[in-house]
Amino acid sequence: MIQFLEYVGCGILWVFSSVLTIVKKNPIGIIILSLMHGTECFLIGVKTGLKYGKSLPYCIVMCMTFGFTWWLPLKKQMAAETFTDADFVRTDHDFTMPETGV
Amino acid sequence: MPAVYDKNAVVITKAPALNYFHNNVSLPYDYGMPSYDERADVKAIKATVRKSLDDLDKETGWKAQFKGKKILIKPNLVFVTPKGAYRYDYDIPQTTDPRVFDAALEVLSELVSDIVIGEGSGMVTWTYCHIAGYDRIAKHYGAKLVYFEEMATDRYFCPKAECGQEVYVPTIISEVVKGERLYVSVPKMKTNIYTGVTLGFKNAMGTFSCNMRYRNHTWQIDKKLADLLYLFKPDLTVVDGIIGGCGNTPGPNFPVIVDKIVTGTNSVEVDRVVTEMMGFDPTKNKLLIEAGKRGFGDPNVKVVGEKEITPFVPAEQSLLTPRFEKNWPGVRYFVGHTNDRAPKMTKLDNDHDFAVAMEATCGGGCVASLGTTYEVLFGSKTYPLTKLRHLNIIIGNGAEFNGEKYWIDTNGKAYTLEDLKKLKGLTYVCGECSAPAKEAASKGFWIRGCGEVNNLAFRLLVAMMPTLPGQFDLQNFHLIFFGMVRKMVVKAFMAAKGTPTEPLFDAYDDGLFTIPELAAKNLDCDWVEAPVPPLTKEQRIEAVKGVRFIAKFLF
Repeated sequence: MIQFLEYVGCGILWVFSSVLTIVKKNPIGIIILSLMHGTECFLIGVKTGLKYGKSLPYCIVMCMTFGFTWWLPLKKQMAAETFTDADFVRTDHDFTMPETGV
Repeated sequence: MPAVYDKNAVVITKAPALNYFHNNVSLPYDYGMPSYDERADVKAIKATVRKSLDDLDKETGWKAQFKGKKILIKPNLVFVTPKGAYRYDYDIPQTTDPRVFDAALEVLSELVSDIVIGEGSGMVTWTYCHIAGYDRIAKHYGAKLVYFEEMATDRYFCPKAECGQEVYVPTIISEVVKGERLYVSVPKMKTNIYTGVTLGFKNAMGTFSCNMRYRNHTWQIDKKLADLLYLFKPDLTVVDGIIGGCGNTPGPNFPVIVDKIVTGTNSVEVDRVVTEMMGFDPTKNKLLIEAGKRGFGDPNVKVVGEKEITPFVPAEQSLLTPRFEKNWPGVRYFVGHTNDRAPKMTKLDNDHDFAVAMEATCGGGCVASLGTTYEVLFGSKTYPLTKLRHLNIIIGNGAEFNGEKYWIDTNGKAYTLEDLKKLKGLTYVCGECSAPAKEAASKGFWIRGCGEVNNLAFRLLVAMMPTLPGQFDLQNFHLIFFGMVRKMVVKAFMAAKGTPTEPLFDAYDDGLFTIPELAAKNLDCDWVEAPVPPLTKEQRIEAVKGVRFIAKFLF
């Protein structure tokens, strides 16, 4: 949900920038967003997306549109889901029965 | 032709003792990449499933039956939620482990010509498949993924059925019924509040649309599910017993480390063996009794492997347990029934055991649905457990004594309708049969319908506000909302086209849904095709109107 709200926020930025470009003939918003997202895309976005199993066109579209609100959660998720053999060794702490009122 | 086996077998295969908790509900990001196949848990699960299926083949020759055939393979997806949704620090083990499903599909894909993965969770199957990663599994194997509740239905009559004589199933199931496609059931090893356990053939409940599920979703639920075996049955069952689930499923349940894969060619026998492995007596499970009574078991089945017992906490089909009363001290509960199954009142003051016997009259109905919903509330992260919530619940048409109707509380004390009307706080009257007590209900809290689970659950959640149920965690809310809208649009479109996805809601009571008199030659058949005539314009309009966002009596 947080990510969804971030996407909505990003969408609002794009709409605001577009309105500025069309109505005030001032493309500064669009230029800044494109430059920022383009740089992110080139430096980290595509790399992260591809590693996560997404296709190249998907990575480019998502990163250019949503910037770090797309690739950062993906990177965090990937870190949480990357395991080594040690993570699969059974221990007594794998699971503890919660307080269920029994 | 469906698979015909000369002899049936159940194979129990032990998996290596590893920590299988990572991704047991939802696939990891690297599924389909070499790193996924290199994981220790994935390697162990794949080897265990393959060994089990190979051993089963040695006993039954199932692979020869599947060679070149089309299959429909069905997992069991129930409230697929990540850790964040509940206050428990683990993924809720209600759903077939996608790693096990993938391993089974890997073996099957080497044999069959066409694979369809099908599931109908009743709520938002699209969302659940997406969260659990089943859409990625389908893509990986080039399989088609279908959501049963979004498919047109075919109608069948089952003359031998005791309870479910008229059945509507998705069109893809017709291919199974007619033997054009083999059916593989891949359930989770878990308990169930309605039926005690939910395994190989109970998994077929997911083929029903909501309005079909509501029919006899009551004390008759075991009969209804066993009757479905007349129509179709699994040709192969693979039970995911890596991590089992115990407690009041389909409410949030608790993991049980089992480390087993159980496979078999006769699903009733598989279920019988697994029930025993869960520490329950299969001869006392009503669902298995009903299936056995109809002759769907095989007394000559061979069991291969050790039937090691791992005790599961049973589901509690009651609101009169010490646990419930401890967890919900503010809930007062009154039950009274007058019917052939209910105990007769011979005096006004009874005891707790009498109340329990009265409640058990319709154990698989509203009581179980309430128990599930309370379990959801109890597990929900946002539910303020320290805050006492008060609610009066009334179930049943009242037990007759000396010409007066009574509802009894947990101690066996009897209350008249006038007494119930004087109860303080919110009063919730549950189910169509409880109409005689509806005057005691707070405004909007007489719950219409019989076995209309969603209506009952949502209103109970409202009554116990404020809280956000675990399944509707904000993290997934957009997916769930989109899934619901998607389902509604598809269903409305299908209905408008004249191919509705379900019959109109008709579960107003627990009566039987009988069929017209059949020709003598059909009486001895397991099933008879009963095509529904093309819908008229008026019927299409009715069908579109019948499509509900959540439940029949909501909104």
